[in-house]
Amino acid sequence: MSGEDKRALIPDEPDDAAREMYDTKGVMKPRFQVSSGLTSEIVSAISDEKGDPPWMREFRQQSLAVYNETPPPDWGPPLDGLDMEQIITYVKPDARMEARWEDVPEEIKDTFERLGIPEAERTGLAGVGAQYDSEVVYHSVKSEVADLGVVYTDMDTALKGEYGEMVRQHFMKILPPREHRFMALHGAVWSGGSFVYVPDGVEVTIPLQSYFRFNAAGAGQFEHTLIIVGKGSSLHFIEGCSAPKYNVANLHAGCVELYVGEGARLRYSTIENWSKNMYNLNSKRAVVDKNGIIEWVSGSFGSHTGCLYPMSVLRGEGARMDYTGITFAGAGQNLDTGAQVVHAAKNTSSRISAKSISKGGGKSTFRGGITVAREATGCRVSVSCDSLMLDSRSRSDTVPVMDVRCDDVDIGYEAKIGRISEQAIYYLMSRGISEDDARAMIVNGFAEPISKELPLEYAVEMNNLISLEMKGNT
Amino acid sequence: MTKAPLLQIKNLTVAVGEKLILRDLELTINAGETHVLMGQNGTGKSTLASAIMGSPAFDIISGEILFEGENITEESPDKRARRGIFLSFQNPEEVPGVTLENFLRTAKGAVTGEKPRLMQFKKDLRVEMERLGVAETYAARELNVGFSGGEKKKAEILQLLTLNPKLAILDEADSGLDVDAVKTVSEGVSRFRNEGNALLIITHNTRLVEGIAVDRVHVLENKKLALSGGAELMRRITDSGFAGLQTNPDAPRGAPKGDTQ
Amino acid sequence: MLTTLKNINALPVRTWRRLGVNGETLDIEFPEPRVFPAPKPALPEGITRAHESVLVCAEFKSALGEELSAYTRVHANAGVRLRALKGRPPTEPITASYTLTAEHPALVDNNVIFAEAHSEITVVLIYGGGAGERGFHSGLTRVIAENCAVVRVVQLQCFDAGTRHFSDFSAVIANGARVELTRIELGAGETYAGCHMKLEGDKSEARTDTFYFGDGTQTLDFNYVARHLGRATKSEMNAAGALFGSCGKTYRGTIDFVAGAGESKGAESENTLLFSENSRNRSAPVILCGEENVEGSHAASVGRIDEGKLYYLRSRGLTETDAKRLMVGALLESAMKNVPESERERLRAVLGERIG
Repeated sequence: MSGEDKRALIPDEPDDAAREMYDTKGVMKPRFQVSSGLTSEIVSAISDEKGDPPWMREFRQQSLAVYNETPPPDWGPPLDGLDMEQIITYVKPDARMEARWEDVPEEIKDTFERLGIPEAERTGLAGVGAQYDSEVVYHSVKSEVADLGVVYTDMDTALKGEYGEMVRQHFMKILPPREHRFMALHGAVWSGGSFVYVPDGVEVTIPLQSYFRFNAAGAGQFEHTLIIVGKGSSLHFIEGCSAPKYNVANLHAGCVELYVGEGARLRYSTIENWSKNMYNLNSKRAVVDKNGIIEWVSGSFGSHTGCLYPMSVLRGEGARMDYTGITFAGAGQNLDTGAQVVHAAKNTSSRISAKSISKGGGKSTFRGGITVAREATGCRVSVSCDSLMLDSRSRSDTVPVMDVRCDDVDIGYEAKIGRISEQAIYYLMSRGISEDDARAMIVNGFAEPISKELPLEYAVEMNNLISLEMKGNT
Repeated sequence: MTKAPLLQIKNLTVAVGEKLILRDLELTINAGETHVLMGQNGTGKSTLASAIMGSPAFDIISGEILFEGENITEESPDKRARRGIFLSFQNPEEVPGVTLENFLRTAKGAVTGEKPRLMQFKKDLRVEMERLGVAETYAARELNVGFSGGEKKKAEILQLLTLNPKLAILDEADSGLDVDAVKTVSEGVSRFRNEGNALLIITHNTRLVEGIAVDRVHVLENKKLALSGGAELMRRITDSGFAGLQTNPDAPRGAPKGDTQ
Repeated sequence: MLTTLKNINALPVRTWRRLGVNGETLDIEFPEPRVFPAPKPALPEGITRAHESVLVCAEFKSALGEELSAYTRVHANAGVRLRALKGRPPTEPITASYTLTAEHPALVDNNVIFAEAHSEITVVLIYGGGAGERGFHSGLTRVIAENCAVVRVVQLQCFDAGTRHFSDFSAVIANGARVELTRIELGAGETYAGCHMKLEGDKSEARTDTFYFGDGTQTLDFNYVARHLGRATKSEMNAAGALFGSCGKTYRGTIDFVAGAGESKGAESENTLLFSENSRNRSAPVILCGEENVEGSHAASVGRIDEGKLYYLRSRGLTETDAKRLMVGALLESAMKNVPESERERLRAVLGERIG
C-alpha cells in the first residue's frame, strides 16, 4: 500500500480505550528511589547508585551549585505548582537493562505492550529504547543497523563503555547547566536516556525510537539524549512520552543534544502526551555543521505546563533547519512551545511552521526566537504561525522575536489567529457529517501538515489524541 | 393514499438579520421531476437553496419545509443531508488538510450509515472522476483548496454523484465554466437523474439544462415565485429576458406538474 | 537630576532576555524645567481650548512607560489642549511646530485632545531643530474620542542627531470612533516611541502608520499596543523603514484581544529595508488572544532591496542612489496618508538628502 492509502486507514473515531491506555498505572514497585527534594546528599546518592565516573560525580555537584544560585525564569508560564522539595528526582525500576523484550519484567512489559511499543518495533523501526521512570529497561537495535557501525544504547552503557570519552566531550556542551535553572537541575540529577552515534557516511533508512514512560507519582524524569550524526549520514529519531495521571505534580526536565555533521541530516520527531499533572520543562538543542539539516517534528498534547523550544544553532555554511510543530492546549493546560534558531554562518536557512489549538480554557503560546549573526550573510528565514481558538475561555498568544544583525537576509514572517469558519462547518454538515465530526475534521485538517511528517503509527496516535481532545466536554 | 411530495415548501419567509429575502414562498417538487429556478441577481435564489439545506446564516421567520412529508424546518444540515438532500454550492468552502477522497468517503459513510470499503470506494471514485475529467491527483488534494472555479464546480458534481441524494439542488453549477466544462457538468447531472430522484437547478442560462428534460420553470421575483411554467418559459426568458415577462402575482406558485399557466 | 527608568517600551509579555526586547532601562538626565516659546495655534470654528481635566473620565495606559508619562505631565513646558465640539464639520488641521535651539534645548509637551461625539479633528505636531547633546524632547499625547468621533494625530520628527526624543501616545476610543496616529521619525539620536490604543467602544477603530529612518548610530525603539475591548473593533498597525549606518531599531507591535471583543479584527505589518551590515534590527510582532471570534494577523518582511527590482530600476537609467531613494521613498509615501500636502514635499526632501 502506498503511504497515502495507509493514511486512509487512520480511524476517524478514536479508540475509546485510548485515553485509558495512557492513564493505566503500572503496578511496578521501584527497586531504589531517593527521597524527595534536592540536596548534595541526594545527588551523591544518585552518583553512588549509578556508579558515576569521577568527572560525572563532580559535574553533578557543580550543576547543583549552579541550580541553587539560579533564579527561576522571569518569563513564560507560572511554575508555582512545582515544589522541588516534593519531587523525587530518581526512581529506579526493579529491572535491569534488557536487550530481549522477553526478559523485561512482566509489569513493565504490560505497560509498554498497552502502549504498543514492541508492536511498533516489529512494524519497522531500526531500534527501540524504552525508559521506565528514571532508567532505561530495554534497548535493542536491528543487527543490519548495528552492522553499519550505528550505536544505539542507553546513556549509562555509553558513559561507562567504549564511547565514554565521546560522551564526556559532548555531554551538556551545547546545553550548559549555566543557561537556566532547569538545565542546571538536569545536570545534577539526570538519569536514563539514549546515546546514538551514526558514523560518517551511513544512511539509516528506518527510524530509531525511544519511548519514555513515567510511572511513579511525584517524581521527576531527567533523561539525557545525545545523538551524534557523522558527515553525510542520516537518521530519523522518534521520541514518545506518556504518563498516567496523578494528583501531585510530576516534573520532566530532559535534555536533548544533537550534533549534525557536515552534510548530515537528522530528523527528530516527538509526540508528547504526558499526563496533565506534568511540568514538562524540556530542553532540546542541535548544532548543525556545513550543509547539514536538522528537522524537528513536534506534537505537544499532554502536560499541565509545558515549556519546549528546540533551538538550532546553524554554525556551518549552508546549514538548514526545519521546524513543524503543533500544540493542543485543553482544559487546565498551559503549553508554551515554539522554536529558536541561531543563524551563525553564511547561506543558512530556517523554516518554522507552528500551529496551535486552544480549547476548554487551555492556554497555548507560540514563542519564537530568531537570531541572525553578522556573519550570516545570505540567510533566509521563513516563519508562519497559525492559531485556532475553539472557545473564548481559552487563550492563544503568539510571541515571536527576530533579532537581525546582518543586512543580507531575507526574512518573512506571518501569523494568523482565528476560529473555525462557521461556513466550513455548514458545508461539511450539508454533506451529512455531524457538527462535532465536522469540527474534528477541520481541526484534524489543520493539523495535517504535521501529521503527514510523522510515521504512520504516530500519525494515527496524533489523530486519536486530537479526536480525544475534541470529544472532551471541558 | 397518495405518497407525500419529495419536497414541499409552505409559506416560507426567510430573512438575513433585519432584511427579508423571501416572503410566503411556496414550492412543491415530486420525485422524478426537474425544476429550474431563474431570476435576476439578488432575488434570493441562493437563499432559497440555503434555506432548504438549513444554512445557519439565514433565519426562517415562518413557514415550513417538508421532505417526504416530514417537517425538517428546524433540522440541522447534516440530518437533512442524511435524508437525501444535496446542495451544490456556488462557492464551495476550502477545507485545508482534509483530502477530497477522505472527505467524500466520510460523507458517504455518514449519508448511507455505513462507511464504504476503501478499495471499492477508491475504484468507484476514480471511475467517476475520469468521467468528469477531473485528474486522479485531485483525490489526494485538500478539499477545494487551490481549486480553480471550474474544478470546484466539478468537485461538487463529483460529490453529487458519489452521495447520490434524492433531491439535488444545483446553485449556479455552471457559472464561470467554459463550454466544454458545462457539457461535462451537464452530462454528470444527467447521469445522476433517474425516476426516483429530483433536481432543482438554479441557473442564469439554459446551457446547463440542454439535454436534461425540464418539468417546471420558476421565476423568483419580489421575494416569491412570481411565475411558474413549463420548459417553454425558459426559452422565453432566454429570448427576451426577465423584463419581457408578464408576471402575475396571483398565478399558482410552484404548482405541481401538469398544471400549466 | 539623573534618573534611572526601567521598563521603557516594555513588551506586554516577557520573553528571552538575550533577544533584548523586554524593555529598556535608561539613565535620563531630566532637563531643568523652563518655558518653551511656541506660538499658540489659531483655532478654527468648532474647536476650543480644553483643560487637562477633561481626561479624568478615562483611564490611559502608557506603552512607553508610566514613569516617563508622569514626568511629562508634571514638567510640561508646551503642548496643545484641544476640544472638538459635537457634530461640527471637519476643519483644517491644527498645527503646532516646535524647534529646539541652544537657548531652548528641552521640549516637554503635554498634548490633550478631546473629541466630542461625532466630531472630527486633525492635529499636526512638527518637531525639529536641536542643541547638540543637550537636545531633549519628551512628548505625551492623550486622546479621548467619544462616540463616532474621528481623531488624526500626525507627528513629524526631524530633530538633529544629538537629540534624545521620547514620544508617547495613548488613546481611549469609544463606540464607532476612530483614532489614527501617523509618525514620521526622520531624526534624533535616540527615539523611544510608545503608542497605546484602547479600543473600548464597540466598533471602534485604530490605525497607526509609522515610518522610521536611521543612518548613523541612532537608536529607534518602538512599542505599539492595540488593546481590543469592545465588540467588532478594528486595528491596523503599519510600520516601515530603512536602516543605514550602524543604527539599532526595535519594533514591538502587539494586538491584544481581550475576552468579549468578539468580531474584532487586528492586522499588523512591518516592512524593513536594510542597507548596512552594521545595523541591528529587532521585531517582536505579538498577538495576545483571549477571544474566539476574532481575526488577527501579522506580517513582517526584513531584508535588502529586492535584487530584481534594483536591476529593473537601473536598467531604466537610475543610479543606485536614485533607486534607493525611490524604494525608501515608497515606504515613506505609504505612511503619509494623513500628512498634510504642504508637509509632504519637505519630508521627501529631507529623506532624499539623507540617502546619498
